[in-house]
Amino acid sequence: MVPVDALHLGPDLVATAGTWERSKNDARFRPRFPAVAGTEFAVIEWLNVGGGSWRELVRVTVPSTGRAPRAIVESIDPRSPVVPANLLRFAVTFSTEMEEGSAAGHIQLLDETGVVMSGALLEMPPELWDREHRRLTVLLEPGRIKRGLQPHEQAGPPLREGGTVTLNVEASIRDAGGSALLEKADRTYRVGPPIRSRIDPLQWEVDWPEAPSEPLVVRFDRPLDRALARRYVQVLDAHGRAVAGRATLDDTAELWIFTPAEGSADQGSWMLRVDSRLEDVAGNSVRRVFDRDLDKPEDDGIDEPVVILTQAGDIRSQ
Amino acid sequence: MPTTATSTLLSAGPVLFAPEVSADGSVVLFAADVARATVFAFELPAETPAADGAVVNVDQLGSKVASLLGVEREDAVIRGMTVHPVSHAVYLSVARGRGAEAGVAVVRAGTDGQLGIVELDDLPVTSFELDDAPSDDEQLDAWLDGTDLNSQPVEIHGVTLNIARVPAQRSTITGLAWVDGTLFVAGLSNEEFSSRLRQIPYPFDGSATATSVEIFHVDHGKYETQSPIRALTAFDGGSSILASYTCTPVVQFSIDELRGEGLVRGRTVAELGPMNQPFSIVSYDRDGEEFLLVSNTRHPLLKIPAAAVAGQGSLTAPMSEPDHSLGVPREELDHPGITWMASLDRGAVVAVQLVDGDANLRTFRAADL
Repeated sequence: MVPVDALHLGPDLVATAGTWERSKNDARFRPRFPAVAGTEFAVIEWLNVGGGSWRELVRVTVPSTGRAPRAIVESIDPRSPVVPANLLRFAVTFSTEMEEGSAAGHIQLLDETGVVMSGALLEMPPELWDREHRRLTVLLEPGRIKRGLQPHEQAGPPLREGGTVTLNVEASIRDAGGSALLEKADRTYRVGPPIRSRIDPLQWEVDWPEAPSEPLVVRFDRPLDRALARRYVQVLDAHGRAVAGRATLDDTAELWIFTPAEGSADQGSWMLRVDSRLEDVAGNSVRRVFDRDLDKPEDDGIDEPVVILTQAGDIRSQ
Repeated sequence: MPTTATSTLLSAGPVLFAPEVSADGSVVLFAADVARATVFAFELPAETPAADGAVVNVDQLGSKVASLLGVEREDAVIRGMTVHPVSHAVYLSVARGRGAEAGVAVVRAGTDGQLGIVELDDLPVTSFELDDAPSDDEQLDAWLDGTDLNSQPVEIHGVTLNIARVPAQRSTITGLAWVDGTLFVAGLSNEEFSSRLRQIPYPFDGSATATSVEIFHVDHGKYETQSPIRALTAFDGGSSILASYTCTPVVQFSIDELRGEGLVRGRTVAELGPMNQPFSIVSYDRDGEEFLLVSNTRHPLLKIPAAAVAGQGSLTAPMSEPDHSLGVPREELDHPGITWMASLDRGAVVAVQLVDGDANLRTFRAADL
């Protein structure tokens, strides 16, 4: 038994791993690994005539699952119409669990005329899925973003300020059941100026709540990475414990609204905890500039793992 | 954390044999399960020692592996390769199938050219998960979002709320290396663009050291960046790591400096240029001298003398200067299409070479490299 597309190996054919069970009138093949729907196999036998050769007896096709495509792209981040010229990554969120390994080669960056920008995205694999296999992180080629590197100097940055780019997700990416997407998806962006500075929480506009039932509203100094904003910005009470509530980030990824849970108290002593690993969409963190200019003192990094923003408007390290 | 339960790989990734052989002949195969950010260590039974000079060559490896695994050619993709220290058999980690039938197989290619499936499931195994559950101060259970898959009812202030835990970020594993009882693991996170290099003592005891490794870029000396490591190998008698980054510099680290404290700055010793990704790095000896090979997605196979790495100062001249250096002298070898590489013994390198749309397994003697 071999897949039909391996028949070209001729005398070098390698049989598919599995076991044959023979009875008087029939023989059954049990493959070592589950057969993939749609695969066509040939049953062959060795003829010891002349130099010997394989003879094909019959072909068998594994039935296709018949599952209709139903997975879609739910969102593509960033969600704002403008991205910085040194944008580091996109995130594509699917409606269902997806198959790892099927995305490579099926997501492209297109220029104004719809032509694929070769070498703009970091090649997959590895495919950077989250644990649920629903959100895929797509990195732009970092060597072309970083100033001074050969790829940046020779091939130029992938995004050029003033231009337009489209992230294109082909429908051929497969879900965990092996079906393609219901439809392709894309999102088009204008390219704005690059962002080349550390995130500065002191520049954030924070509306602290007057009552424990009111929301806490933060306007960041720039659009932040959505996944990291979710993980690394937190409201603490006077004892340093997390205040329960619901946080949302709007489509610009700049406006963060925290709605405290019912029963919250002592809002006057709340603080904002910011992990210094928090990154913006260009990979700059609270800690470091993505490509630090050693001649600029303002590019110097900080070592604190966490900064605490207080209602007095100052910053404490922790 | 280490476990001793029998386990099955769910996804294919880099593989590496520890070079040490137990008294009973058994050896340890490390296999990265990239989807679970876990390294498994399988204890493989003894194999027959390779005959002197025996090498591994398999024509049309890609088609043969797919046929063995019962899938069409494009549904079998090699994700890692290593060489058995005793038998010199080549072990390949292969992603097979698709959809619900997607999985992983480890395929063995012997010095006789025969292919077989390595049955791992009943072997003694331990494992180490890179992404542990978030520590207490990272437990962000302050989320109230009933739509989240991870939400659970929790009582706060006498009120029951649907609390969603923020899922831990996921690392994927891009490279493995071995130095004196320690496994080096390079990876890439789906969230932070980080550059941590993990060192995990084996046998796994739950401990690991992670060092942030940053680089000065080669041809400017003006900028400093962090970037994940893509491929790595130990060299210089285990005193150094040579790593290639996702943005193409080749960087040397001294093992002594990787203690999990502060920030370690690697010495950029070469740059590989644009539109290219480093694929695999391997070390070998020729005429008593150590060399390193770097395979690339677009550039030719590069050969770098290890002595030149030691003697190469960190590159700092701006690329705009006419006499700027691109780092250590490197030679472009005329072996096109090389992807995965592994050292067969110090005197030969096994490589997957793409020829006419199919992969071939080839052994190159040091004299030919």
